[in-house]
Amino acid sequence: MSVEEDLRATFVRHEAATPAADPLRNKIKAAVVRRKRRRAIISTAAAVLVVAAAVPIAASVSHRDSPTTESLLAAPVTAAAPATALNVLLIGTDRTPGVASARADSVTIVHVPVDPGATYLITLPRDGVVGGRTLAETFRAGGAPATRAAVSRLAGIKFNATIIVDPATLSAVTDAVDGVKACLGRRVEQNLPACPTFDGAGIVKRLGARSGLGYTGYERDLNSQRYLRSLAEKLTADGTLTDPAALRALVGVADHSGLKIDGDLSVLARAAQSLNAAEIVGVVAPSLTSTDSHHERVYPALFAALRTDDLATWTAAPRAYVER
Amino acid sequence: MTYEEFVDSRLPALLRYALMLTGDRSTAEDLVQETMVRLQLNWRRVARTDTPDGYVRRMLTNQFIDLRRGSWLRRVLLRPEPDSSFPAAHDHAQESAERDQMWELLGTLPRRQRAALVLRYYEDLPDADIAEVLGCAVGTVRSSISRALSTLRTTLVEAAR
Repeated sequence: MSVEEDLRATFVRHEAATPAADPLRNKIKAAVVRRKRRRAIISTAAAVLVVAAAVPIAASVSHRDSPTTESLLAAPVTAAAPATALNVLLIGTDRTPGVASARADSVTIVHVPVDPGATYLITLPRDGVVGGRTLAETFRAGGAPATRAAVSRLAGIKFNATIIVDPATLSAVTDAVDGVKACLGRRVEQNLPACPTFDGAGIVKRLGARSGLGYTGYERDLNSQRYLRSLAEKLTADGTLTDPAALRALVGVADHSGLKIDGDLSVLARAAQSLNAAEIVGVVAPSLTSTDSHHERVYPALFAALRTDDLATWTAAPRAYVER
Repeated sequence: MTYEEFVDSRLPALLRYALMLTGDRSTAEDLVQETMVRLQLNWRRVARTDTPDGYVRRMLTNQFIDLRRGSWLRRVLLRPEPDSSFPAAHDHAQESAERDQMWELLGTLPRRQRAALVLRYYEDLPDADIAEVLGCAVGTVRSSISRALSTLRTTLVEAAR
């Protein structure tokens, strides 16, 4: 018997072992129901995941550039609109293994509006003086609770949750999805950036303040947001965001790498239907060593829009530091 | 055609195909289940832009090829409940005492090669169709199959000595 004939015969011989169709039909029905029912949980997981993914940077406290890159929590927007807007505080640290303390490199307000369509990421300068201290100093002295209180007072909003992410989480999540292709050039409108695929180590290095590539804090923050968008697109395209098991696995990766969440996840769940329905709009105020001028020119209007849940109008006006 | 009509008519054949690909009943069931769940959730889009037959065959085959090969997504999808799966050894126990050497050998081939063999020698597809399923050139299909047959021949000849 030729090998081809042997092959055909083998296949035919094993047809008898084919699983039954009817039991599987029922399993499929049940699986579809489960998958549809879990979308709220998926959204939460997606939110957590995306947050975890957008992670910060290692920066030295003495580094003068202010807004460090921020990872932002882009909670997906719900098709069934939430009753109130959600605010999540995302703090990125520079925690490296073996080092006792970590510094806050990035402080971002993630705002999920009542009206679906966009999620907003507002990066605050780490050197921004709030209540007499910079946000970085506040975090060093009082950790996440103190930082949350300070930003709450500053913006006049309450937070539904605080999430703290380390470079390890960014790296782990990036590697878990087999890398993320992102265009992280200098100001996009200036030239055509190359769009490489970053692995975990690569993205941490690239977004790091010590990257030595001469980027300002502002550019790093923009890149962070761009990276986040790319990750979200990837997760949308490959179906992760509509797959509970896949999301759980990815959240597991983030969790295992040290992601910390303080707050009610079910609250985050309220905000999400599918990330691909939401645009991610980033606000990164230009960096300056002093933020006084921003406090007067930018932040009052920005925070007012945040409080009244009307960032759509505020970001619609042409501004140098809004990117979508 | 509705999704239900499609499932009713295709499920048995898909299960057979999945079994030949994976060599394992449980994995075959998981593969088909996942493919059909996704199909149902995306039915309108698939029915509009694609042929459901092509879609399921491509998806099923690609999932099989990516199984446990660094694709975290597939790994997770196919084993959501760990206690529902059985190892391949379970199937061996169910076979007759006469060992099916060819069947075992198939399990040692790289997955792409196995898929190509199944598509030609079980599904009887022409090479151009196989190329579409696998997303490669016809020449690649032919060399894949040629390599696989050569491996099988060599191993069988040596075993016969």
